[in-house]
Amino acid sequence: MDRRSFIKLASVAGIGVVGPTAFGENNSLLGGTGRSYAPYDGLYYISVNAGGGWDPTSFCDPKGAAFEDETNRMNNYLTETIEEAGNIRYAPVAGNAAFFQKYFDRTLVINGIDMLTNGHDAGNRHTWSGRLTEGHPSMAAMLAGAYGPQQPLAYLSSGGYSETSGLVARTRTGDNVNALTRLAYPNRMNVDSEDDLFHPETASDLIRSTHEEREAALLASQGLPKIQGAMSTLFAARAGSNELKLLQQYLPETRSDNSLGAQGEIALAAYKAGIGVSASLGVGGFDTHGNHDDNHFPSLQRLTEGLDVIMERAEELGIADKILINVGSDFGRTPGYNDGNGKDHWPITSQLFMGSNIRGNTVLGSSDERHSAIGFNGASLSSDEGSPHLQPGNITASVRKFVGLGDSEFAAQFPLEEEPFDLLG
Amino acid sequence: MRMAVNKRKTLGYTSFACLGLIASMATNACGGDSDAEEQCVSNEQFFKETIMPIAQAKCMACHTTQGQAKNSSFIFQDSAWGPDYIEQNMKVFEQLSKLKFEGNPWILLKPTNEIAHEGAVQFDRDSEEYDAFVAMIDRIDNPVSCDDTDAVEEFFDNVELLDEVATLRKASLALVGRLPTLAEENQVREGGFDALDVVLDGMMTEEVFFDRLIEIYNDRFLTDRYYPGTEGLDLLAGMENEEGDNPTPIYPNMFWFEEEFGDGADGDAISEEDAALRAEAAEFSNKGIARASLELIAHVVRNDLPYTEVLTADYTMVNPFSAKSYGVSPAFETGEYDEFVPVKLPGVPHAGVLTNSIFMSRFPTTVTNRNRHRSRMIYEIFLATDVQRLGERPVDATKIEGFNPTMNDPNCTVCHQIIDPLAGALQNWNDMGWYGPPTTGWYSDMRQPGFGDETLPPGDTTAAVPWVATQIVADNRFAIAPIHILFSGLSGQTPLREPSDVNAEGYLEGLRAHDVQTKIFQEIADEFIESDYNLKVIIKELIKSPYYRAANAYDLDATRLLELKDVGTGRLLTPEQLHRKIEAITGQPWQTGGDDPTPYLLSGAQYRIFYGGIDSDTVVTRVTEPNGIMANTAARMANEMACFTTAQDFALDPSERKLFPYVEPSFQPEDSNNYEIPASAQAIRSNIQYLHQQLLGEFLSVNDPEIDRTYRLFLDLWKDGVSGMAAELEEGEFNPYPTNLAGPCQATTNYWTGEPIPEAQQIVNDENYTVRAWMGVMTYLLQDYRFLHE
Repeated sequence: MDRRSFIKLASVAGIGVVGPTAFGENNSLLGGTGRSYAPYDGLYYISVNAGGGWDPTSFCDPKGAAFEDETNRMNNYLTETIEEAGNIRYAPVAGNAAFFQKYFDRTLVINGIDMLTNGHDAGNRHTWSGRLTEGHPSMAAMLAGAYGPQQPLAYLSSGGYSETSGLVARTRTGDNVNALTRLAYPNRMNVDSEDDLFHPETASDLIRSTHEEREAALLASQGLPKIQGAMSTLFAARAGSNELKLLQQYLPETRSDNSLGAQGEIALAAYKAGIGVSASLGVGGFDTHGNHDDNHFPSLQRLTEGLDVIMERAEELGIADKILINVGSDFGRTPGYNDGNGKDHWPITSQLFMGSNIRGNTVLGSSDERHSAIGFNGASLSSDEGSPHLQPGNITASVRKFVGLGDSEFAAQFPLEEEPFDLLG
Repeated sequence: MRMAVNKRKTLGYTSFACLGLIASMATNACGGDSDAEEQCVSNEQFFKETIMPIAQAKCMACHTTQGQAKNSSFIFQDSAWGPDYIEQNMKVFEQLSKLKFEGNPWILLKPTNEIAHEGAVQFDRDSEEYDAFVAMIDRIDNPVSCDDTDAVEEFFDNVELLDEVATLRKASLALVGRLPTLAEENQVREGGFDALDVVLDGMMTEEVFFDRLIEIYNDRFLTDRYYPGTEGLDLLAGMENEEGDNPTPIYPNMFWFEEEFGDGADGDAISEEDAALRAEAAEFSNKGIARASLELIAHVVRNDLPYTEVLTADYTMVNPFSAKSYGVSPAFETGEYDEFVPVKLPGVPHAGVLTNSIFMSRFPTTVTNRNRHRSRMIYEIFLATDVQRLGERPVDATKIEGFNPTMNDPNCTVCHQIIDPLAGALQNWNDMGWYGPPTTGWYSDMRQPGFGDETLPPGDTTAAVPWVATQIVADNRFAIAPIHILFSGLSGQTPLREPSDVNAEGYLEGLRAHDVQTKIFQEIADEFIESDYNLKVIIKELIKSPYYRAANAYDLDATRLLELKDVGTGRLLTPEQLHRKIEAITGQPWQTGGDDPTPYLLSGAQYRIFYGGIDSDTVVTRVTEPNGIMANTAARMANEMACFTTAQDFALDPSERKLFPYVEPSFQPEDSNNYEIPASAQAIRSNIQYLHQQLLGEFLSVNDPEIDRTYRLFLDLWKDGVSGMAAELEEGEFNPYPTNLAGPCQATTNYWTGEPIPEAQQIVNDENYTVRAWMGVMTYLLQDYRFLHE
């Protein structure tokens, strides 16, 4: 039984199954209608979490010192040294120059986002689900749940808030590619030989078809929703697991030694193989309460170098025009330095988007000289003191609209109070 | 067993649905529930299900400690305040109902603005909300209490629970990674749940149980981040006495094994044997250091000590190797690396886990964090309180102005008034997790060190942590916390949270589910306290609870589906649990070959992370729902273990077999004319029935449809193989059906001893194709839902 038949059977049995139920608008970027059982070739969404609360004033919302010994200065670099790449201003530290000079035309910066919290968990959740309180899936999980929950690596997660709310199975990948190869060919005694099998192909088919019969019987006889859900999740995962072998052919021969880059390589291989829909990646080291510059800048550099690996690999695979990268963090960091030369939690932050189909070379939203948010007029996409602050909910709602889920059943099931704007283009 | 269908007793729940009070209450009440007069709704239930939703919608925007009405006497609390928040809110409601103006209660006059109300009109006299408040006032004057025990039983109506023997099997695999013995099964079969308690007590003395307990607690402590390797040793090696001009190490002997076995410095050659011994000594010393807090939990439970000692113990735990690292000499019985004994370290005012450097380091602090992170984790792990949820509502932190906001600004104090006193009580543990009282005392711009309403007694603060430990264990949340931890550990689920969105679908059903679970957990907590905090009581009571035993349900309508949506432990086994189950049932572990095998599911370099496990470092939450990679991991396991164990089991004497006691490889289901051989077929069916019982916990009749299904699979596999072996091949054509088994699947060597199996018992040839047919059946069962889940 293929996945479509299985899910149909379960539906007839009145059983909720992790299955495709997308009702989003058609979007050419997404490669056709939302409901698809074929290899997924729509938009690939990658969220990148800079874990711990990054400092936008050290990155894409620069605030320098007026002069060298200024007391309570925002940063140790001078305002006059702030650099530009196109319309994007950036702090002259870490690897920012290399990153922005290379990618400014494909980058959208959104500054002055009010997180409404200084808590790590709440901030993470707010950034990646659009909602401060619990209960909503991450944007990446929603997209995977809408457009390809049956894909074996529909939603890869290795960082940040990755709640699925039951929409899709979440997958973690380890670093051992040899182990992954063995798992891609579970019936091969010798993974390099297609003849050296534990069971002949006919036997494997018999075992599989017997499983499918039993699975249908187990589901039909189970009355508790939680156990039904657990069963259907396993059966759905199993039904598409053959495609895992496709991942192997799209991994690079030499893996990146940048952690974020390595995560991205697996994610892009999954997408190129048609078995992935979205990924939540992450890089840590940003919660710099002490010695901010010494500790934060290397983390920023790892982040931008990792993003570079992802973009380069996407180009090599010919999929750079199909990916949307969304970079964010728990919150921002306090204006100025504390007694330990660190920076503490601050609710104003920024997000970045990268991809060929968004408005690049653009900065939306702003903050004042002490990194307080300035109101944002969503209609004109301009800063406006009299308008409310831009919030993560506005951004998530905007992303939903951009990817064709703005008026979907998913959006209705997980509503946001904030309205969408045409932020991404 | 089925539970009787009882009437649900929710008069208030259904009658106010008739008034359309709460939109989500789409129940059948308005049709005229003839059972209404038989139903009983207590004051507490009515307040919680009817008044609280109104309060949340109409009052709590202002009437909270942080709201605009924070200076009034009418303040509501939410569940984050504490387990008694409903009682508190009822008191506040009652107070305002008894305060009257011209004979009318303020509780009615204020929201209708009939007396000045800054919040203006919240509802009118002819509204449903007004009627609800009137009803509550009437209840205050004429209290209604109900027999609470019915509420729990009714909640689980139509839920099928595992009987005692099935519960024993599930618990046995969960606690000790093996199936129950026949004697244990019979004991429980005859003695019921009382006997189950006795058998579980016996199981909780086995060492593998303590391994499981440590796994469960490490999921919270995450101190295995420092184990294995030498990270624990490295952390403590830097601890120095800072008095005088020349600081000296507090534990100069931390790497004692380098001196004893040599470290290869100065070009000295070390023998291979010494190098191996040194490596072992390093590993075991680090284990002693890294696992001290987890071993304290094991020590308390092993010796039936009060669980409070986890925080109040005036000692730490060492093994023979870490004892040498610390420079102490307690007595050991066996001297083995896994023997841990209590010891007092000189100069350390012990307070169990709270004064363990590894635990402290796992939850680090900084000069600005000032132990708040540690305080938050202690609240979470030992007081079942998520402090971050106290401040979950939107905060406009840019408007936080003025001096010292953590002391003075309500946006900040909502959390900081809770965590800062405890943070201050931890003042003697520095940012490295070392004991080092601050020379200038604690911060004067923070709340006084203490806990709750108590402040640390003045004077010598070196015993601050032992003092705060006594405060924590006296808090009534302390008894709830291990229930939450063990509930998650045993069921794979997190305890229910009270729903907060009154407009969400299933709000009332979620409320009811939360209430029932809270009630059950409180009853367990009461028994736990009565037993002098014996943790085994919690384990036994959770295992006997409906949450652990719920297996199926019948005739559930939409409301009941919502109420029961979190009931039932369809729990994917963790990598560690699955590893133990595979060995227990098949007789062999799933691991690499060679002289130093690596268990596949326990190694980060193999499948542990792929299968949803953690490394306690960067991967700290388990994946609890299977995905494609996990399904393939299970498939590979099933294929490999079927290959490795089928012939091996057949090579044993039938009385010693774990898998095939009723059949032999010579038992073919049909003769050459395709007629069934009845005796063989019956034996095959019996063995299949046995395998369903052993591997899947299914006690089925030999003619059950599932037995039929598995028999058909065996038959089809066998026929395919027989026909395949008979097929003529062209020269050079690959033969997928050889008469011999593939090398790894043969049984020529005893797996455990490595000695050759007597030739007459060896299994190399499979000319009947029955061994491979059984391998196929094993593959089928080993990746079944019921093998991978409990």
